[in-house]
Amino acid sequence: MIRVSDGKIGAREFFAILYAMMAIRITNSTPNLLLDAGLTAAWAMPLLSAAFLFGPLLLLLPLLKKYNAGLLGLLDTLTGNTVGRLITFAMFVAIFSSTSLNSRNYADIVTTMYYSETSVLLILVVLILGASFYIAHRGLEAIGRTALLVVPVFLLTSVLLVIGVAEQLNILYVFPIAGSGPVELVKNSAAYSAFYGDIILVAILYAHVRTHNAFRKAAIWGLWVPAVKMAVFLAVYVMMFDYPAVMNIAFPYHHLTRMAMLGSLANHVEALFLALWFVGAALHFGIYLYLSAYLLGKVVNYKQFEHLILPLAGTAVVLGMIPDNHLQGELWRMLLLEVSSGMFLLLPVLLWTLDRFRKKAKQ
Amino acid sequence: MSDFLKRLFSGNSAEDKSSLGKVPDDPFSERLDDNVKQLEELFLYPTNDTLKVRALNIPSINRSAKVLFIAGAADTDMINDHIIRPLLASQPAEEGNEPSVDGIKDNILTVSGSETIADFREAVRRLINGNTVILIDGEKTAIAADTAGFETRSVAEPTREIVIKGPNHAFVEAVDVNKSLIRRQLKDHRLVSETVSVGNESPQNVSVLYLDNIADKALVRNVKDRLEKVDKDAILTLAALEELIEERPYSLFPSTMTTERPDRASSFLLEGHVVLLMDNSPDALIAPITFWSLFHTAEDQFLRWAYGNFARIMRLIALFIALLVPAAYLAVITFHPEMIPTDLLLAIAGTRERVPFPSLLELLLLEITFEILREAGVRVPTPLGTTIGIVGALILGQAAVQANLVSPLLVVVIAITGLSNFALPEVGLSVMVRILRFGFLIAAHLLGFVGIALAFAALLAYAASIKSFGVPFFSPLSPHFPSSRDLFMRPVLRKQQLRPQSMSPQEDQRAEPEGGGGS
Amino acid sequence: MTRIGWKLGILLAVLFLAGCGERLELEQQAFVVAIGLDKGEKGNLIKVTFQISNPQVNTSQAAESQTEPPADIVTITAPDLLAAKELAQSSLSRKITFSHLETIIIGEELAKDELFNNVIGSAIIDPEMRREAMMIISKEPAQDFIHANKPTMETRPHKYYAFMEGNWEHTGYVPLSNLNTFYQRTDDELFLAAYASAQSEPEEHEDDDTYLAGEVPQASGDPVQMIGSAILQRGRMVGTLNGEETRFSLLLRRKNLIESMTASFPDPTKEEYRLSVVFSRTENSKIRIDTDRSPAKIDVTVPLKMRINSNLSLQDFTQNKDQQKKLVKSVEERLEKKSDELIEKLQEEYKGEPFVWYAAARKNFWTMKQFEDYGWDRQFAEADVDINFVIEIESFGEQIRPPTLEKDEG
Repeated sequence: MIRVSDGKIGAREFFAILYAMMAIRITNSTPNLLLDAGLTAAWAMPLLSAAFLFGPLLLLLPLLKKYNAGLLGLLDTLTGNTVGRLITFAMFVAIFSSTSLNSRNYADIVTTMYYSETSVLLILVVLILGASFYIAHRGLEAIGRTALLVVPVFLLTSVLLVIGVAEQLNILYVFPIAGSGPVELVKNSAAYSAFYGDIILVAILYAHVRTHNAFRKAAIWGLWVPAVKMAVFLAVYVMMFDYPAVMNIAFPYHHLTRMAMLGSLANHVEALFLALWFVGAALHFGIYLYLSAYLLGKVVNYKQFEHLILPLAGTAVVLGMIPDNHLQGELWRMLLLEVSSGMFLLLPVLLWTLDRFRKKAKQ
Repeated sequence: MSDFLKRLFSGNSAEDKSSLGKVPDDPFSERLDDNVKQLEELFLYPTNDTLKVRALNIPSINRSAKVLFIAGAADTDMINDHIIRPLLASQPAEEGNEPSVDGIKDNILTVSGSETIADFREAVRRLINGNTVILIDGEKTAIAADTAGFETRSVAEPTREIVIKGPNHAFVEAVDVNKSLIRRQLKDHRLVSETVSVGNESPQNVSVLYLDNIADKALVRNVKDRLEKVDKDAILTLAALEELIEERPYSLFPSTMTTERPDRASSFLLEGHVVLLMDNSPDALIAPITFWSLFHTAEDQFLRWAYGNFARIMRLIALFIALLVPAAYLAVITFHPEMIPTDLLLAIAGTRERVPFPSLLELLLLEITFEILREAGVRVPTPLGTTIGIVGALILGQAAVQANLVSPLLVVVIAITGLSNFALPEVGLSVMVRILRFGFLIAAHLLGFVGIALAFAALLAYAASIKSFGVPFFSPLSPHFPSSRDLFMRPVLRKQQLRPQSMSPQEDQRAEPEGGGGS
Repeated sequence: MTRIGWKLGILLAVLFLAGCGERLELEQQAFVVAIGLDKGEKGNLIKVTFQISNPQVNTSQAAESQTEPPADIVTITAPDLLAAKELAQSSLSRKITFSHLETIIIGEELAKDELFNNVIGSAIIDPEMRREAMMIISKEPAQDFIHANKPTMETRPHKYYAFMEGNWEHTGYVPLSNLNTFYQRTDDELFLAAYASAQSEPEEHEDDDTYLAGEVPQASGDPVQMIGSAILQRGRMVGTLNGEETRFSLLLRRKNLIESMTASFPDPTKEEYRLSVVFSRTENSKIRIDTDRSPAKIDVTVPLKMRINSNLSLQDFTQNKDQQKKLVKSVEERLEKKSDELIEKLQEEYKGEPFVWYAAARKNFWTMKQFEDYGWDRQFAEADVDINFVIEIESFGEQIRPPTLEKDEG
């Protein structure tokens, strides 16, 4: 009936979803990983990582168009049912474990930086089982629309935050320009490219995006805008705290918001940024829960995958409580990142090769 | 008694699924007395003195006849002047050349609309609609003359949607007047007015207005389907209908809205919305609606571009203040004291030292008092209105602080919140915000800004997911659709060419200039 | 609706059961506005002095309590700041919070001690500690400093420190030193912290800004003086700079931290008189560092705008181009000479620089490792430094020529 209610999402909503999935990484302990690897040149790493993934993405796009099916459909056609299901399961493991690890990370940030006397469990429960579960439960359309409503606000406040600290920045701190050296940078960028692996993974939603063109546009913007945002913020961290002090700061984003001054009067505005950040976090995990449920539903052939969201949210909370502290989770996170980086980089290549192979076989 | 009549009131093309169905559709007999007796029984005469019967002798045919009408529904002056007087004054005709019933109807009566009818059911239906039925002895048909004359109020000024600049008509309780008010704004032959009758026992006609060339056919069908599905014995006003046709009666978010301004209704029509009118309701029901319909006022479009947008910015700020300020205050002083400048912080801490309640209770106490004050202000008779102001300002503001019941800053917080709430134009939005405010208070009490953020995220997800008659609540902003961007801000009128595509209008571009305010 | 209803119900129940330990009413908290750190008498103990604002003094009429002092000062001896915070709770009824802590005062004795680096390094681990808090080094123990500081105008101490900080931007007597910049420079680079004293030992100097805190000839008023800076290297205090040297070290930085400052110079035309001028810097200084040659070469050009607002010699600078040139040249030379002296002192005594020149030097390197191998601080101690001041006269005040000019000419 009404055009807008066809259950599909448009380019802007899809872009907003991608932004909410990726750009928020700059606020957790991701910068610490990047700064450790890139030193003063850490800002170049998000751009390099995005460039690494851009190739596979460009390989994937024509395939999606050709078969007019989502990533899972492609897997099914090109690799066969069993292998396809295995890869789907691998993707589920990657995304779901990162959901629970990251959610713990976020809860740790809150308890470390703001609410030192609140239990991690409480924050995890209200975040994952409360808001994120609710957002995921409202379905993909609602997620897309909510994201589109809040993402412009996030973009705006990011700019405001940079302006708020601009006076305290020293541009010379980003030198030496190559940081840990070009080879190190490229190597680590490849290893950490899973930060943007989501861009390959969301191809599973291909069938839910209105047109191929919308998907292509949103995917390309959705890869580069978060990458540029991360690059800018990493540079700002270095310019603000200077190397090597910046390496010792656990959550630079939250220190940055503490230092930000909006005018001369409002100089303690971090709680406002905390609120905005948490809206973003709720949305972020809402999307991840939805995607996890979607993938798991495909793996076990359960059509009404929405019912899986609640059990998955509960499991994420339980898994999130396993590490004793966030530094322990960090090691697992690094391992996960490196493994899934390989997967997301190679998967499109694999699919593309199989597609070539099929064509030849036909001839 | 007139209530009873209005309840019986039924339109011209009503279906016979109502109480009328119980009236036997027997044809009239030739005997005048039998017919009258039967009708008197149907109207429970003599217990019910509604049915008036005037017996007379028509000279032209030299037969007795009876004129029947319903007191209150029919216009007695009109009956005197245009029915009884012509009948009595008709010249005796020559033998064999007596006029037939049709002849009387066409050549003697001087009322503009009259028809012949042949059965009781039709007679009853005509009578309760204010028609006069003339039964003539020896005839199996009767004449029904249109003499409807319900009491109506003259067109008045709007009371809820007041503008400083712009037209000042408001809908009244008569549907015909309302329709003519809309047609006066919207001179378009494609403006369709369909009638659907709702209510099983006492049917009421609901007029469904839409622009045939713009409104989405599926939307119109959807609205009509919902109207037909309404299963109630009687629906008195549009407000009741509103609840019966909407998807989420429990939801805090309205999915329809009412306006008392014909110009606003017309502008909604021009964007492809459907407008429902009903007799006895001095407003129009608009479906579907979006957040923007609730947020905008008619005046935004009447004022110059800059003035109108300034008003909108203020309203947006007011919306956020009304929704979040008490919660933010609570979060700040119980969780995030670093946010307040040190001077203010010490001032609050100093005054709070003597307040015996925790901040939440203090806030709830004053907030609830304010809500009671507002409720009382609406109910209080006008001469006492000023008393409420004095009681509110003096007793609550001054005395509560002096008695150390609340801290002075809190009074300021609640006052700003209340004031902002009054700046919200739509009653649905305003009440929604008032209720949600308490939700945010609880969230802030539990987890400070984190609680507010999570509650806000969930609220946003809910608001973004709901649809009113298939149209998403925040469209065309989210999901994005091409529109004139008349959202938070409005562009200049010349640029408002594109209708919001979220309404799926049949014609995308505006062919004619916009009539007035609206979304 | 009912489906969502019970979920929400469960959620709320969980929330209410779990509760949140964070919530605390304002009146139950003690807002520390300044803390003082001193060396304890025994071992590695430190003395922590908390200055806690009293919300019932000078805040709002409704809360006024005439007889109480504006701040409560408590000193606790404990192994570290966090322990002291907890221990202070034994005498304080309200929970101590640092959320409005803007000033940290450190006694010189502690600042010079080995222990200091550990104390201040561990302080920042407490998330309540804010990185933009001011750091002041006091000549006497911080405890005495806090007790002695009783400004008449600002009854509430936080106001005093806030206004003082605003003042520094105009005088440049004291560097703007917060914890964030301190943690940036904990290595060989020099970090300048504000230097203050509440003990008066007045001296009289010819130059108006060569004083160190406590030496300014002042009679009556608040005993606290803040002028000059303490030099910290590797997280320890190693020396002091007087007001003039502090100003130069701020001027020689790339980014301007001083909005404007007043200084006096001998009049080049009449040596016995002095001339007070107002300097302002609107552009960044240009710093060029050549690290390829050895020793390294550092070129610094400092653009300054000058306003002549007081003219004791009553010379006519406004009309006479030559006089102007002479004045500019003499001021430039004097500034260059003074800064050369300062740099020499730093190179010899401290082998480090407080001018953030290391950031400019980093520009010359490709990777961090190369820069670290280069060893900037070692190189600085031997570097050739060439400093140029470029001065423009912006205005001559509101008189076209000195009032007694005609009489003077005869």
